[in-house]
Amino acid sequence: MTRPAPFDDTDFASVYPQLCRPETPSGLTRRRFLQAGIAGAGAAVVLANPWRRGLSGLATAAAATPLNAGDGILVLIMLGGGNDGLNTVIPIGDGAYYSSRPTLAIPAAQALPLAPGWGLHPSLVHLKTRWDAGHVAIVQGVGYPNPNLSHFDSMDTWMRGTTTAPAANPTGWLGRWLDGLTSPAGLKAVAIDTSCPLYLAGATTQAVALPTALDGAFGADRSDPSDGRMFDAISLLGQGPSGLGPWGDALAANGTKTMALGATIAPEYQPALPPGDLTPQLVLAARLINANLGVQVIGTGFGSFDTHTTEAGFHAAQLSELDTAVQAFYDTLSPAWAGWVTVMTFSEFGRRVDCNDSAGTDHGTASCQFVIGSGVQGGLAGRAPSLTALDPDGNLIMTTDFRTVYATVLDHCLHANPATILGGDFGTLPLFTGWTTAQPTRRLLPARPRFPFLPRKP
Amino acid sequence: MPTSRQDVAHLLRRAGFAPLPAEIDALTSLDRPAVVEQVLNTSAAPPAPPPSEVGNPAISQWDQFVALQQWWIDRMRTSPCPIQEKMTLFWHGHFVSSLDKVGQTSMMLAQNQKFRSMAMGSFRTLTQSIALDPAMLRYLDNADNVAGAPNENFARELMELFTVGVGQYRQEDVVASARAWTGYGLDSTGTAFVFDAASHDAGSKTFLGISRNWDGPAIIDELLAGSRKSVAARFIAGKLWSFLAYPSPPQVVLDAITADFLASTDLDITVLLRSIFNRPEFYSTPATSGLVRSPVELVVAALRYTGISAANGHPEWYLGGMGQELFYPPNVAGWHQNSYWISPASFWARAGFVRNLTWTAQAAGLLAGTGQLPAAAAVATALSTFGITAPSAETVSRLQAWLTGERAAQGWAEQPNLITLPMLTPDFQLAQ
Repeated sequence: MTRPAPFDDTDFASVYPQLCRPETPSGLTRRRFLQAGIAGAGAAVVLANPWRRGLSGLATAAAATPLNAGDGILVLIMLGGGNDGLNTVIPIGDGAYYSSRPTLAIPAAQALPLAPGWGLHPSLVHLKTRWDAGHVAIVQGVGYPNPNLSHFDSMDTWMRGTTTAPAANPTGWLGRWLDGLTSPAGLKAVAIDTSCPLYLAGATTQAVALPTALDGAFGADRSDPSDGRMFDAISLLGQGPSGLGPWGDALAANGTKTMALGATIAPEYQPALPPGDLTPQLVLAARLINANLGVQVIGTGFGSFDTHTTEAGFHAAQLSELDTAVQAFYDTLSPAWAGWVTVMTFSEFGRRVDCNDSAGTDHGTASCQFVIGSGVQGGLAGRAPSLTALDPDGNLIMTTDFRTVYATVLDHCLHANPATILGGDFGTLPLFTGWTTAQPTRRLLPARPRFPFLPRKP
Repeated sequence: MPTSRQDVAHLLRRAGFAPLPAEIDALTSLDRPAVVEQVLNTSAAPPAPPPSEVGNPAISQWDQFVALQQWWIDRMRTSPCPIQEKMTLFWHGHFVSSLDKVGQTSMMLAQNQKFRSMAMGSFRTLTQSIALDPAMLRYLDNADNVAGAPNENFARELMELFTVGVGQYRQEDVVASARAWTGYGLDSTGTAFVFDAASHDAGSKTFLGISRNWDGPAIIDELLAGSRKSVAARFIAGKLWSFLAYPSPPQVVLDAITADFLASTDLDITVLLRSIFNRPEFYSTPATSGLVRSPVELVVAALRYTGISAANGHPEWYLGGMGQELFYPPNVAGWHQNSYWISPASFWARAGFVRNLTWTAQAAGLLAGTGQLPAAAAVATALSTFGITAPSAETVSRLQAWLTGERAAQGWAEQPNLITLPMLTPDFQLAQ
């Protein structure tokens, strides 16, 4: 993704769309695209024997590269807009918190007790249960050096996983992980959104973007021969150069890819996903994991957490959605897979220590991150920043570099070399106890409910 | 010298949405500058009486929202001066407000009418007007920006996104501008602008190095008529070129169109448009193949070529899934281009819309006669029906092969699928 000068910049709410990429960026050569993405696997099958392989060739391709024992699965939750860390993991034992936020502080009695001096936002009831079970680590004071209060610059830094100036074609930290895989075939990484966020986009490959609703997904149901011939026509349009330039090629290839993808993933959309913002994303994430399609990284997210005005009710609702979604994720996830999965939140920054006069908070710096999983070493990690020794803007001074957290999950969950991906050694944190060692049994693919593709036939 | 059919079609597609063959043919005899003048002439634009549903308390906000979207899409589809609607869409994506936060369809409608009436006039006048627009005051929190408790939201975006771009100011300038904008808020109904002198910080502020008692409009004048005028002109010229031609114009083009824009009276948008449309680069291959149709553009084209109204085509069911819901921009930076619209997720939404439209179009008899034509002629008719004036050879041969196969198999779906397929070709998804 380039960041076209001079206008393409932002500063408010979710900057996500700007930090997103196409499924088939024109910068990728077609050959690389075919090697790298799901279309590669699908295209090979289409050419050999179009659409005649039951669940399509993609499941086969994915199953050919199953997860190895000990491989982790990482699910990310982006809290877009800058989550207020101090009202999420609350320093109930610190008088400075209460004096700084007369209109916004959460009384100690309402916070869910975490540890002496610390309480959790009252919306996070299920997370508290998980904490009590020892499955939640909270890293405090996470940020990046020389913070900038712009949404774009901060999220850009978090997504790229580096503090160096953006390159002409920047890559995301998990995109570089994808780039480094020897066989990134199949659905190795998924972004549950309409496009791929930068952190899941590399130089040569990137996550596949999936929606939360497949409403009559075109290409998913081939039971009608005429439909099948139409889907094939679209698929074939992307088999060669479009003759329409790089964007035409990207559009044509996207059609091919979409036709292949629909048949593979349609079953995961049944029964209908629950309502909500993050909740359907995480339920779909759990189903994709259960289906053993080879997915190792899943990106989700919602917002906005940009709580400049009347923060209390809005923030409570957003955290409630987070809590509901994480619970729904674990309710859906097969116990066989639960030991493999780590869930991690991130946000571009926290909020100012002092509340503002609109009963909200302005852009800040360091914040907290949740790391959730049965292999997690539960408890508070990192060091909470002082609420009184602040930077000149009245913001927290970070105590843990965000790349240290990244390095920890890269090392532990993905067995990757953090220094290569992050461009330096940022150390790791003791966030994990170990893995459930038993390899899950691959889910058999039973007869599934047919996806209701609903053309209104005359 | 006459203008080529391809150039006229390209200009009409970009300056509007989806030209019909007769609209192209009516202009080819003119030379290019004359065609451009025809496109820029909005004197025949019909008045825009608002949809009666909006603001009617007996109708739910949701139904008002549906009516508002359909009303605007139908204007895009039917206006004889589509550039006015295209520029209204541009300003909606530039001076972003979202119903998500504004909360009232009537306020979004009022802002939309403001964009429409000022779409092609002075950029400074437009900016001054939008700064005091109630939806904007609500969306970027300036309604809460009062002396002693400044809210920087509007002040920051005014510079970063609306006028000069990031890197052209410092945080101190944001703080000073926020103070200057204190007191520009909403009345007790929350729906009308009011200036409250008691809430205005009348102290001295230092903005862009100048210390004086700045007020809000003076900040805009400084940005657009004072020391930052040329920066702002370049910023807007680059963004408009990217919207109409292709992203990130080359230096030489940006220099030239910026110069024309700067030389105009008070940053006249029509002058900038004329400059863009008369550049040879606007008709180059990077331009003709350089833009993916945004979802709104795709929807308008599909409705126009099928002759179906928004009320019957229901684009509002699908636009969110495609990633571009009118009156609901994703954030203050608005929508982006090209790559932003390409993914399986958005393809499914596009296909869902197209498929839904297909049954309505088929019932109305679209392409009804093609069954009697040889495959090549039937495909040519279909592609031309959907405004694909220069289909790629690949597209033509694939569709011909499909139709031959469908006929050989005696499939049921020749006519409907001949309606669906052109709209899902890369040719149609490109604004090409």
